[in-house]
Amino acid sequence: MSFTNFYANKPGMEIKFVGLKNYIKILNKEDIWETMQATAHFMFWTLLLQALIGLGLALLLNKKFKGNEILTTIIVLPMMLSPAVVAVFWTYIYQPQTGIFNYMINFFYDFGEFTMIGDVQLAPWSIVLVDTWMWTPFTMLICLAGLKSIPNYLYEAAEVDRANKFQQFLHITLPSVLPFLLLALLFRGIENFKMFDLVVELTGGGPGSTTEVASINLKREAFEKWRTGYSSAFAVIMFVTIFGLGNIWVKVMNKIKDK
Amino acid sequence: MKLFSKLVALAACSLISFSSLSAAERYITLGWAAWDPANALVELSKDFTKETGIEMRYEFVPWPNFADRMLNELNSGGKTFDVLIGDSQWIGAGAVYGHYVKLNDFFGKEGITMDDFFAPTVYAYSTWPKGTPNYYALPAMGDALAWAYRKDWFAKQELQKAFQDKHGYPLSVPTTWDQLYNVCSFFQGRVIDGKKRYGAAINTERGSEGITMGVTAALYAWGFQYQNPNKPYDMEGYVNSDRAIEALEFYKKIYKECTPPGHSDAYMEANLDAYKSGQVAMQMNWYAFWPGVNKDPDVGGGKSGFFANPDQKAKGATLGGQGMSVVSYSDKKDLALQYIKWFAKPEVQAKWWSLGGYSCHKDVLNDPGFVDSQVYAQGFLDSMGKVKDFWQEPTFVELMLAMQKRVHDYVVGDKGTAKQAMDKLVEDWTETFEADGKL
Amino acid sequence: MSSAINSVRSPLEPSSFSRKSAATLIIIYAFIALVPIAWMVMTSFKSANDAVSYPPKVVFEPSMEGWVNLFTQRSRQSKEYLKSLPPPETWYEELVRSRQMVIAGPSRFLGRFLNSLIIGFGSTFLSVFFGALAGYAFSRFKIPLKEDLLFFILSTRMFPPIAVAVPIFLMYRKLGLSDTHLGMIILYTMVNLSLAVWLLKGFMDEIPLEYEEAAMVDGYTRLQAFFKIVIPQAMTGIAATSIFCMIFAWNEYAFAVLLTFSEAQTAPPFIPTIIGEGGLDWPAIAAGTVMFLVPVMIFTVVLRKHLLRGITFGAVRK
Repeated sequence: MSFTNFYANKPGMEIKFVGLKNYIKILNKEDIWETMQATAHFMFWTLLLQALIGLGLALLLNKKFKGNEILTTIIVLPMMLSPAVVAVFWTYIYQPQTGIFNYMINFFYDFGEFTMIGDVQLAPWSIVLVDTWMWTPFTMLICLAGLKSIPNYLYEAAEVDRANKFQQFLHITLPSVLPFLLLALLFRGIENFKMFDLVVELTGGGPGSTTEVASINLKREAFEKWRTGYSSAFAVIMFVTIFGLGNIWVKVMNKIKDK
Repeated sequence: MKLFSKLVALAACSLISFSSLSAAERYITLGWAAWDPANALVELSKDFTKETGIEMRYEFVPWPNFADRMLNELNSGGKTFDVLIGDSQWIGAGAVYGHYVKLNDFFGKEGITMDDFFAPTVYAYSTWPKGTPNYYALPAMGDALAWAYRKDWFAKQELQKAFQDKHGYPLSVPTTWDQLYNVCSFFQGRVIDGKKRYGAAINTERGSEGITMGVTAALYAWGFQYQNPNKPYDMEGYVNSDRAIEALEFYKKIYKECTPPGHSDAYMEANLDAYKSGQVAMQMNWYAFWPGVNKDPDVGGGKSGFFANPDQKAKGATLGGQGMSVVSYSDKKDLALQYIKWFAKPEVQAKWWSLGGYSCHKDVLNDPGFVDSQVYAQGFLDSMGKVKDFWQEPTFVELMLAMQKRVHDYVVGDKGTAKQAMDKLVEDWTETFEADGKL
Repeated sequence: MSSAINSVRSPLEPSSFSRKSAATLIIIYAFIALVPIAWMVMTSFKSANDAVSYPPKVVFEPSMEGWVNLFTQRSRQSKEYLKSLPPPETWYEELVRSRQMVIAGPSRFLGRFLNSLIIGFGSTFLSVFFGALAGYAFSRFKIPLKEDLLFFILSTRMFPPIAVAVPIFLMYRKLGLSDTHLGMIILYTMVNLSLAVWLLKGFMDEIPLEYEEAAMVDGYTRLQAFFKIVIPQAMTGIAATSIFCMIFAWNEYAFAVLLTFSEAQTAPPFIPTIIGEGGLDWPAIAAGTVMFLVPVMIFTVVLRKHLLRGITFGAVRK
């Protein structure tokens, strides 16, 4: 289909083979590159934040204190919820005048009136924040599994060598957890590349096209404009990108593991 | 007493279920958007069921999904709907792709003439190709974009004085966009009755058609043209004319300076919300909502006034409203036609208006009592006399989405200049028409 | 643990200070993570006015307005008309009347909720059933190109749902499956199957081969052995997998919004469209959200052990 000019809403229209025309059109389109940029921004910051906070939480939770288990459950809760439904509710939380988010921020430092979703600068951060809230527990859990898999004798040996806590962290903890963390990020990366529901319900791609990630653009082309051939080509490009990036990531991961 | 009323309820229930059983084969399904007028239509159609014994079933879809849902249904040849009250822009697709039944023969046979309906509404809701006597719908719900304002605030002495001092003329209903801006910016941030208020709630929605339906209100007032009148689909120099650019810039100015915070993705519901909660002095919205506003416990009962879209360099108002069509995939086209025949009757049309629907029938509109029957009646007549609609081409969704993107990018997303936005729009539209073989 | 045995603290055990500060930080994070959820529950019990008051109200008079609005359709009436009606019989009618409205009928929410249940359970059952068969096969038999096949199965999850939705939409349109329960069950089964196969293969790998071999020596066929020995042994794994599949189907939005409209529409695409009388009805939306999310939360809390294991298991195994 990606090589045709097929429109699924035009009965009786002759379907023509157009070769690579759809692909050329897409790759030359400024708008497509903008959506790719929005996607990249979203992915970069969510992955970074989730890696840092997730790892931090895992380290803290690994200290085995009382109530550890129930706290873990509470932290994991957001991850189990429906992103679309949650996003709708966050629009309420983000309301500039009546929402609790602005109120709490201004409680700590008075920025005056600001709007998270409607502002060109802040809107990308509004989705990063919600995604981080939802999915940090995922990296946390996987890191925790990684931490638990580190055998105790490594630390005992380090203790004998008089390595301080920081050195222990740098030479034992981090290298052992890293493959797990990277794996978690791979999963999150794939998920966030195709992110749709959360962003649609939160910002709808706006304001303007500032948060129009690739999936939203694809949905508009495929299910609103019904440019079936064109959007199939775009879908193929997306899949190739995701698959390529994923494979590179796996290669890097394996290299780190081998070390 | 309680027992008795319960028994009555029980009896009524069993009666209803019994009668619905026997009439099960004779029903039609009507599709429309989920909003106030739809409730009025349900009320109105009870008479139809009484007269003919044909049961009415409804599916009302919330506005944000209305077009998606209905066009999907039509594209897949679905039989869910027998009668569809579809948006004015769909008529091209309905006619060209054969979704709608052509009604000329039926009108001729039943003695329904389009001369009985207000000409601009016939042009807008029924004809394809535009202006030709090929009818695919009956004008069902006349509508246009207009404004509501807080009459009670406008009447306040201290505000009157402050406005007079600032602008040198009395605070009243704006007749031009310049005046509109003066009024909006006057109310922006002003404290009235102890609360901070804002200028106006205007359409800025990105997802469906919202911001286009707002920006065009300004564009038409600046004399916007979609194409070269002598050469169809020639848009260069028309869509991106200096006037169009000025209008777009003006709209952005109102958005930036006169709307409540966070008003970046608002359409019908959000505007109503902002207005009813006392956030804003004015709102842009469809006539369809004025009966509800007028009855509202907070802003109704004389607290609200209504006015038609102001002019600037030309007269114009954005067309809303819908025509009533028979879906060609329906198995019950005869029953559906019966409904349309009934709906076209002058007495039904009169009741339609009284229940809160907007009739397009001349008997209703030309009635001497019409103008005084509701506070917004005169404005409705004025507006319908100067309406313009978006493209009604079969490919209107593509055209609409392109405009949504370009305009929202500029007005709300702060991207580029108005000139660049309109230039890109011409490019997008040209591409669509080329793909459709029109260029 | 070891500190309980030795009164002398092992150097490996965190000090009580670092433990306490860790606990404090975690509690702070958990609190922040909970605020949005708690806020949602609170909003569902607010009146429409309290829900949009500024500053946001933390203490408020509880009201069932949102919940009533969620389940009913109402129409606004004049005061005179309301006076002419017989007195309200139920508490919810009274509440609606006090807002100058009458109940016109039930809303569509319950239907959408039921759709979610039907589609969720249907697809979960099917994907776990087929997943168990395939997982068993992958776990026990020598299959050519096994690793590649397994990876291929997993890679189906990499497709953006929107991209897959186009061909599926066209296919379903031809087959008459669009907007049907069956269509959605088949679709979610397809999507969930990859996860189910992966998880169940892992769980079955842990069941010692000897059990079945012993049973087969006793004259059981392989199929009998599978149902009588392996399945009961893998029950915890099956439970965890089921919950995962269920949660996915329950939460799924992209396919649902594109392929269902009315008959088979599930709750996630429906909740955003709950629109009250002229404006977004936040308490009703909150009530719908709470009702939709609570089952998942209960599952999570009750089955946390299996669930947490399942999450890391599915991921770490790869």
